[in-house]
Amino acid sequence: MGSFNLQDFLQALTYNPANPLMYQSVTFFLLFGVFYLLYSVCFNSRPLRNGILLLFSLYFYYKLSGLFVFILIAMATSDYLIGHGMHRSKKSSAKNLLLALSVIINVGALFYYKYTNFLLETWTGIVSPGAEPLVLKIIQPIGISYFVFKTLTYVFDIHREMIEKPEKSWFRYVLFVSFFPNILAGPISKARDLLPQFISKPDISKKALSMGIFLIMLGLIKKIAVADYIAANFVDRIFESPEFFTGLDAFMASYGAMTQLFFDFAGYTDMMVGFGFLMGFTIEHNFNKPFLAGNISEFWRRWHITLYNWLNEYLYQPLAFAWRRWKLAGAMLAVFLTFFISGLWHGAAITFVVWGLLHGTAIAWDVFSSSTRKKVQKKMPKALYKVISIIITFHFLVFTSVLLKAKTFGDALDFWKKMFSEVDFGMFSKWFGIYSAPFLIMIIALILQWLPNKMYTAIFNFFKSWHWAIKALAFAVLVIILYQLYILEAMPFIYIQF
Amino acid sequence: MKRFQVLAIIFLSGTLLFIASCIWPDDDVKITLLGKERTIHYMTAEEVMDFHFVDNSANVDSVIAILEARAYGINEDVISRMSILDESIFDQSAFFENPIISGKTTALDNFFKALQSTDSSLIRVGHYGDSQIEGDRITSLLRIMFQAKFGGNGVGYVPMEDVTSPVSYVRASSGNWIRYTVFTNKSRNNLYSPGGTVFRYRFFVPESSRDSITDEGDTIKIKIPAASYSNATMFLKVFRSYSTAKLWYGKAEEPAELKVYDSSNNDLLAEMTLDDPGPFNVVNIPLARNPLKLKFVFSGPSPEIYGVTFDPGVGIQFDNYGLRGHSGDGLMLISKEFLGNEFRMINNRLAILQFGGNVTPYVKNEKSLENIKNIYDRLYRHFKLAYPEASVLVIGVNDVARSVGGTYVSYPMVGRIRDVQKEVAIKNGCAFFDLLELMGGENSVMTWYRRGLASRDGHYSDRGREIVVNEIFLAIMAEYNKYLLRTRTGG
Repeated sequence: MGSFNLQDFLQALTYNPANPLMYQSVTFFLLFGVFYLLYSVCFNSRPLRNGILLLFSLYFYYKLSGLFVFILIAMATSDYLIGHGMHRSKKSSAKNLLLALSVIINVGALFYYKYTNFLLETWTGIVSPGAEPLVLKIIQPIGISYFVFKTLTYVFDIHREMIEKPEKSWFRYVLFVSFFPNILAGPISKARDLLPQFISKPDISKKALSMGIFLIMLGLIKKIAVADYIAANFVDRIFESPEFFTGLDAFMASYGAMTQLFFDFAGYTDMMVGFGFLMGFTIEHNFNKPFLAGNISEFWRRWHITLYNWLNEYLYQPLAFAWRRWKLAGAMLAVFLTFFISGLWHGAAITFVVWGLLHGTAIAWDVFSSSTRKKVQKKMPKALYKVISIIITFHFLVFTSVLLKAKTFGDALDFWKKMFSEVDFGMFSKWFGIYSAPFLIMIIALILQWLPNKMYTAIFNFFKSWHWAIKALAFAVLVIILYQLYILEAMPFIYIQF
Repeated sequence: MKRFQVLAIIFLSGTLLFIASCIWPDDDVKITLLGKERTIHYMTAEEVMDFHFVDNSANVDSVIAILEARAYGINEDVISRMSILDESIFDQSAFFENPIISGKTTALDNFFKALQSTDSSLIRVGHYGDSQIEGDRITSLLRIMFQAKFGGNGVGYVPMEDVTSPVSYVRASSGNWIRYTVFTNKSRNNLYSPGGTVFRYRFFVPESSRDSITDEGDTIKIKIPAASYSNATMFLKVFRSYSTAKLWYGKAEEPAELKVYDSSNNDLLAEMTLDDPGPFNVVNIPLARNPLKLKFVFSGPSPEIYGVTFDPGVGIQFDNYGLRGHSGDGLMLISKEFLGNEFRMINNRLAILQFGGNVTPYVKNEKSLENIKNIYDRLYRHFKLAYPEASVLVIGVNDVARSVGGTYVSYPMVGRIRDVQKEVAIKNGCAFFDLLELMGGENSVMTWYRRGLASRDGHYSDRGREIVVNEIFLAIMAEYNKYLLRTRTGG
């Protein structure tokens, strides 16, 4: 441990792929403090305010992804120009051509960076099974799936004339694409929602500021106290080396995996929405108690909402409309294609494709079984039907979450086999003796996210009433509490059968 | 002006946290919560201001490329064709130290001397370690490579019960076996196998008969239903052929009986009485033939059962003694005299000690490092003194990562742990293999993880262990090569 070293500090400000910027890190909070000081001072001047925001957004992206910041600027510039071209074009054929060009550039870049190796591996697996596939050394720009979808909303909406006039300022458009609260992992803001906020003066009310700090604190708790803790001490170690563990470990880890995925993503989103509030921006939230969903269709209206809305508006609805002559078959085909693409969007692997298709199948089941389920619903108490539906849906999510954690589809199959054929529930008390801490955190976190919104509103109203100095103290105390989990020793490997 | 309130909150909370780091005691804050003393950790001001980051991922990538290029895997034909005296193959390893302990005698000379007798006798190697080696994962490859060179077959030591899925055999044991180890359930004072385990069977298993360990290391009783048994059984399918099967047992105060069947057709292959009251006995099981599927049936009062072995007649055998979660110190519960006697009886000529992963999270300062150093000093000396005719090889700790706020980074003291292990190993006349250096040094495990060679907590994948074992094998062979040249030239 050394004392402060200027050279190390300056080095820490440059991009290092082995040490990227983390939004829950001391470095980020330090940089955010500097940013917010400048942002506050320049707040009343729009060019300065947006200039500071753009500068820091590009810098944060550079800290995340290095020189790929120029790819981001180039892609934003191409859509900025295409947007203007589309607006000026009188002929629909020219507009269509420009739209196609934008899709080719954006999807082409996404395809190249994210899917080239996946395709090469899949192709080799088909034409010469067992052969070592040719793999190109391609590094993926961080957040490309998100900013490609974000910038596409702009060209799609101009093409559909949902946006009447293209953005005048290139700087503002690049700011929209690179806006740091949602560059890494969404939420996927639409151009028509976010771009106007850079023009009007942001509204920074006391409520918005309190909400911002509250959400950042809530996000840190979800990320560090729940997601990171159960990942490091339980879920990741079982998914990384399942051969060391029992069927019961694997079974419980599948619940842990779904819990970790939710709290990781929801915690991150809370923080990003919170940062937006602090700057006076409204960013749409991604989650609305997804584990209260009674079926998979409802789940997708509660989980990763901005992605669902994007897929629904720009993919499913145009497809379903185009195939409307095929009636239900057309709609189902559109569902499967949408979820196939959703799976691929989540990751370039067979596991993600299968995950997407299973979710598509579940939605198809929702459609086909709708009338039967209504009959069943009438024969039992409404609350009981709801509880049973929630439990079934939750378990489908737990079952499919294995695909999101396993490295390969074969690994997922092995994991399921271990979960279902080697599980011994008689060992639960022993298992609990070892994993009581992650298990209790998991259960408490799940119960807390099931509690009604009015409870959170009451806590927030109480928090809002505090003096700012008390809020600062509360934040400092929370950091010290979370630090206990942040640096907690990994639990040692212990046999559960002895 | 509301935004300046946020600025004030950021500034004030940052200042409070910085002041806290300046005044936080070095040994942290102790509080009593729910009747237990608990420690509240926090960063020191030095840690807050420390922006130093070691990035050696490029170096690790090139290290892995070199290691992969010379990994033979488990190709027995290639290994057997290697000439012992070919220096181009068995080049001196950069990761290995075989110190001179007196005159021109090195730490491994006793083992090398024994290697020269593998044409006419069976020598054993005991491989001790934690979860990194459990289930015969690393040992099995060492066994294959050494047996390809020096002869041998079988799978070595098989405990009566365990929870891992060994790579070399499949086992199903009746529920009345009780497992005692030097790590958990330690009530069999001194009477342990060389690997630190011992088994007894019961005919009636009452409720609350088993112990379990909590994450804080406390032993707790777990209720399981009562059950009765007429005998104790173990079904076994070994994946390698063998020449002889042996039983290690002791303290048969009253005669017990062992019957061994071919489990595929239930033919009785051997029947024997266990009646030697000596603390450790090695007996050949007189099998009529050597099938791969066997059933062992024990009846009568339980002696101390240490395990069975499946061995060649002559050559070399590796025994896997993996204890998950252990740091090695419990092995000192086996007295030097008892361990030495066991080693002598089974002709164990090399002990490989591969611990450290489980102490890594707990070594945070010089004080805890000193404590670990003392423990390993005593452990290595314990093995050296137990049976001076055997050599001891210490395999140092590998790199291990931990989650720090969602990012996995190596434990900060892992390099220091390796340093003290190496220091006390050489001080006690043991050879040392530097696994951390082989991986590429500190902060290397994440590169191994990304390359699919290890998990983030440092456990090797199949390919990863092939690379590691290959290097250990080549390093030992290089030293053996030097030994042969030295002894042939009378040096």
